[in-house]
Amino acid sequence: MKLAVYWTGSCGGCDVSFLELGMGLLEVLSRVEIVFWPALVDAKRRDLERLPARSVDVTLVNGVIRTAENKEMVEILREKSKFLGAYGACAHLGGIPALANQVNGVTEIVFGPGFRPGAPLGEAAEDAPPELLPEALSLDEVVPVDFVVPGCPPPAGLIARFFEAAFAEAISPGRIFAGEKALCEECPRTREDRRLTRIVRPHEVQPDPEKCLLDQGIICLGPVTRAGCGAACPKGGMPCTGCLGPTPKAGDPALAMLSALASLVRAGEEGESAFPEENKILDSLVDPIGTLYKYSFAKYGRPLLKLARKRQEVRA
Amino acid sequence: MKKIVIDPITRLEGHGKILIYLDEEGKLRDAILQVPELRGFEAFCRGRRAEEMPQITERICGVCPEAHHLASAKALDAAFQAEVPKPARLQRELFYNTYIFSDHLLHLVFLGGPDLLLPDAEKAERNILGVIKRFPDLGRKVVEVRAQAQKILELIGGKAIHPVFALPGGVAKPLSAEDRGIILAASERMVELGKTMIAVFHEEILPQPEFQSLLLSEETWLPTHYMGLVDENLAPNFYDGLVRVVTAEGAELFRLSGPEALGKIAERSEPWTYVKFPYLTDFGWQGLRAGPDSGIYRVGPLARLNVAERMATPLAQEEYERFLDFFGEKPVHATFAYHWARLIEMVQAAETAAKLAKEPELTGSTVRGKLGAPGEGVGVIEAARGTLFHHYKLDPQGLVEYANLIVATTHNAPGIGLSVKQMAAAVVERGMPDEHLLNRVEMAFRAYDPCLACATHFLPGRLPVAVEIYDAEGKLLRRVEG
Repeated sequence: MKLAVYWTGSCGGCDVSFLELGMGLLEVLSRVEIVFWPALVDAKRRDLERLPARSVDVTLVNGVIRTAENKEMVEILREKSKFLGAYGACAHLGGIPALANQVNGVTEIVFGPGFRPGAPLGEAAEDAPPELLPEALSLDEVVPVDFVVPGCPPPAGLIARFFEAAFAEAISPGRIFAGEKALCEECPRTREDRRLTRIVRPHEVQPDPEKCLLDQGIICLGPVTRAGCGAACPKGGMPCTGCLGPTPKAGDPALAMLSALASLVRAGEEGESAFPEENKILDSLVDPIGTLYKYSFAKYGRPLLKLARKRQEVRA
Repeated sequence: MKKIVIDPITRLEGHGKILIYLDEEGKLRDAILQVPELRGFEAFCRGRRAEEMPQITERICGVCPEAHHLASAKALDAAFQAEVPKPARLQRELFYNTYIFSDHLLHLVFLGGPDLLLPDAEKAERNILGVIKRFPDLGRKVVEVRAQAQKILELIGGKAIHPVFALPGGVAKPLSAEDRGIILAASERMVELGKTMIAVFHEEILPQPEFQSLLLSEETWLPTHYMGLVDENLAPNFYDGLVRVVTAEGAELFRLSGPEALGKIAERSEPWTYVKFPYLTDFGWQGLRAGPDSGIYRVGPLARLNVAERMATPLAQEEYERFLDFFGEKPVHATFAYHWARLIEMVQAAETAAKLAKEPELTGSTVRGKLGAPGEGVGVIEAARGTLFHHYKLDPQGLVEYANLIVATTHNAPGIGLSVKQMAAAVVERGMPDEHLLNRVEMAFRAYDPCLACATHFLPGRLPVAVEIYDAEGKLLRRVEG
């Protein structure tokens, strides 16, 4: 199997994640021919450009699409590949770097007003670093994506599942290599209260090791997130923050979670008289965008952004 | 006029491109390492929950997330004026030393190692697959032990890559006795592999004439100052200690706490570039060049060995002595000595992890310290690639108002640029370079194990190099700015 792996706006964690296969990695390496993978082998862009169309069996792209060069590279890879997959939360949903979409003009904030990338003094314009795109994008907004290996980074079990399917030439179009059900299904914590009487932040309380975190007031995205990691974070004493992406049932993870929270919140007797107190509890959820769209702002945050811009316009 | 482009540079973390400009006679006019990526973390860290910062900032780099995770937690400890209870501190330190071991091993075998273990290999073979083919037993052992080290990271960190356990004032949960048992066994394997790697280095790498010339040739020497954390015995400490700076001539310039040391670093902006260059304020900005009167310093394995007087553990100390005997002087300015220093540190990290795994209080149940009101804090740690500062200001709600990070590869940006240029000049000197020679230019940056993902978390698009031409008296004749 001819394999290419490429990173766009990425942290490198997806590239390292293959090592989490442990001894299984040796088996994988013995069965693939790596045609392009900048983190591991010395093939250059020109080597890639010389390959015939559709000559790479499987390409995995990790990272957010952030620059014009990222876009160019994935377009080349799309042309050269039979199957192209989004690998990891950034390619799948935009990931954490897509939280930058919340702010206007990243380069202006970083470099100061009026910033333009340029070539070294006296050199050709083509030597300038690539332009940033106006927004960080998930991979499927730039090229058609055949499948997804989700996670930040993808857990070893799901990577193994992907390779199994790839070697069997059984990648079904549109497949997401994770569970369809919610993470809660594989979480060992027990859920009892099914009500939210307060919201606490992870550093404010040392949670009971057996009980559901949400029951203890810690915002855990387990109910709206796909299973597939064995509930690694809740087992480690920390809430799920949604890196495997929302379940098909949840759709927009923030809206789904807000609606779950709204129905769980309880302050005294049920009914309208409790609303002011219940609102107070919900208001103690600080930084809702960073909390509920931590990995998915590129994919799901756009309507929200449009709304915010419209409001600004109306105000202006 | 001619241009040579290496795109992308490979076997490193992050994106990079090398542009080599030649003049009419084919001599080097300039060489730059360009970093065509930017994600803008500082633009979106504002307004985030403080306790999320260890998890957000670690996404700057998936190769050293552990470093950002704990530098961030230490900045938050300070910002909440929290005392970290001993069991939590032991968990963090054991986790951290395991990470240093794992990260250094990754470089020695997967990233930089192929150049050293397979010096004559063709391009298609010069990678981890080639290493496994030539050294099948070693390859198997490395993969196996690295997986065990990752298991330690997972048991303590919740996840090995992008851990979730560190919180202001402590860690998420106590460690079980059962997990300690697994960790103890794994840490002993790490020490064994450390010994194996030392043997491999002395048998396969050090005797090579080509490697000796890389170590000893003045073309690859870069006299700079050095920075690193040391413990009270002046041995390197990765997790904590004082920031010590030793000058290019080997004298201690200062030994200070994180926040105080941060005050000794300034960043230089040049009108012709977007990069800020860190330099030591004691020397001031003397231009982008090395030397004893320049403010430029380096960090990372070689720097830490240069600022230390000894190693903290016995096997590492033995190898450190061989290292010093080989060079016969300190500080060691040979850029390719970074590889050897990395090996020595890997052994210290394994020995330290094995020792910490036996600490009785490791499994203690008190893992959260009392938190004060949120304020301002600095956290400093030694990432595998060098000193890492996180500096936050929090608002009364515990949301981030200000975040500034100085990361290892940023400290090293001037050094990396200068080493690339040095090597490009040496290679071009020999005529039109072929692929094998061009790889030597890449080897110059690989010595640093740079993380361009880290360096560009918010820094601009390129690490610039200016070529300055001096006459015999040291007078600047011409300056070509990249």
